[in-house]
Amino acid sequence: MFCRDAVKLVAELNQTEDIKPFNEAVFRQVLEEVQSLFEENSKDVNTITEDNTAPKNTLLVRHYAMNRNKRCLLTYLFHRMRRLRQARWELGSIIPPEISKNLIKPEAQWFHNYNKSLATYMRTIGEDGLNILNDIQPPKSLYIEVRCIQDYGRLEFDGQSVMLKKNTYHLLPRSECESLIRQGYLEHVSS
Amino acid sequence: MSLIQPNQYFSIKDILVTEERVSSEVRQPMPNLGFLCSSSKKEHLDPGSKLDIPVWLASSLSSKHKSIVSCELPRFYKDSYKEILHADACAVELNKWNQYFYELGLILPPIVKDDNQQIPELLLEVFKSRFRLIMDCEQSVFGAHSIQVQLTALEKQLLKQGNQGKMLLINWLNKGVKHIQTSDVVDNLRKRKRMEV
Repeated sequence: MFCRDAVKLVAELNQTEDIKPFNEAVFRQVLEEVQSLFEENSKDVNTITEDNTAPKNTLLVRHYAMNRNKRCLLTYLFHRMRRLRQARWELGSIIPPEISKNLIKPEAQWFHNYNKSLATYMRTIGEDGLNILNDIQPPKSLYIEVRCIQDYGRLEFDGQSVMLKKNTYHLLPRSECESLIRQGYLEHVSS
Repeated sequence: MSLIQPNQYFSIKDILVTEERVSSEVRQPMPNLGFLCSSSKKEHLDPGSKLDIPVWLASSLSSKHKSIVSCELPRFYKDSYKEILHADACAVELNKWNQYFYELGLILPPIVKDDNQQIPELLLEVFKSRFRLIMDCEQSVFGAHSIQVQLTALEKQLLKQGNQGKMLLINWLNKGVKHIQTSDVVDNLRKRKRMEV
């Protein structure tokens, strides 16, 4: 039956919300299937005559199969891109190697361009730009207490610097550490 | 955070639902497609041969003006199964019948022509009786796991959303300082790492 491989790609998306390694082998197989469907169709199209319209049905079947394949492939790409964008909003412009090693070149390029347009947009807001990734929830206090759960190194802000070592507590400006919390270096301690 | 709602064309669920098979009968000859019918070794598909085709193909081939194939309802929408559902829908392991019981039931009527008028009512009735069960399950901490094995994809989604809603409400009632959470993406990555170690 047609489109077996293409659905494998979509089923893979359905399994988890992670960005998995790009399934290039299957992707290529589907493209080849489309190509062969197309060739068979262009071969059969000449056999249709006034009294023999039967091949028309075959052409239709193959045509729908091609469309279906196309839909599956585009869906695969679309959802990977959507997840990558989500990672950008949650993790910032540098994505962890666990994700970046699973990307193919055009995806990495897309991510780079997306970063660029986002940065350009943020620079145009207000007089000296605004980081729209901060304060996703309305802040209630300027400083928050955080616990470091993973070694990070030195964090510098406003001319001060603080050493973030595992299992240390700090009182830090919210705006500085929000992204670090979302990236999993710090933990917001309730007061 | 998803900025765009994935529309129908890119919907993963929609693609997986339309991949389900229905049994159908070929009405018009289809040359060179004999390989689709695994039981016969003929080169062409002749009228009258039976084969299982996915819903996406069936819906394109059996529309009003061109009826190249005619399709049958899957067995679990038929009368004998209906009686089971009428008796007690909550006791049925619906996901064993089909993971996408409701979604499939919604797209099938235009494809299958004979006596399908009752499918929507059936779905509604089944959903109504099972929805209570899901609601109960959300509110209670216990028993959540025992029911999960018999839910379809849609019902699992409902249960998950219900649980999330409950957590949000509890958080809101507790008020206090808004907490910044670790991103789900990072959480998942960590779990993976732990598994690899």
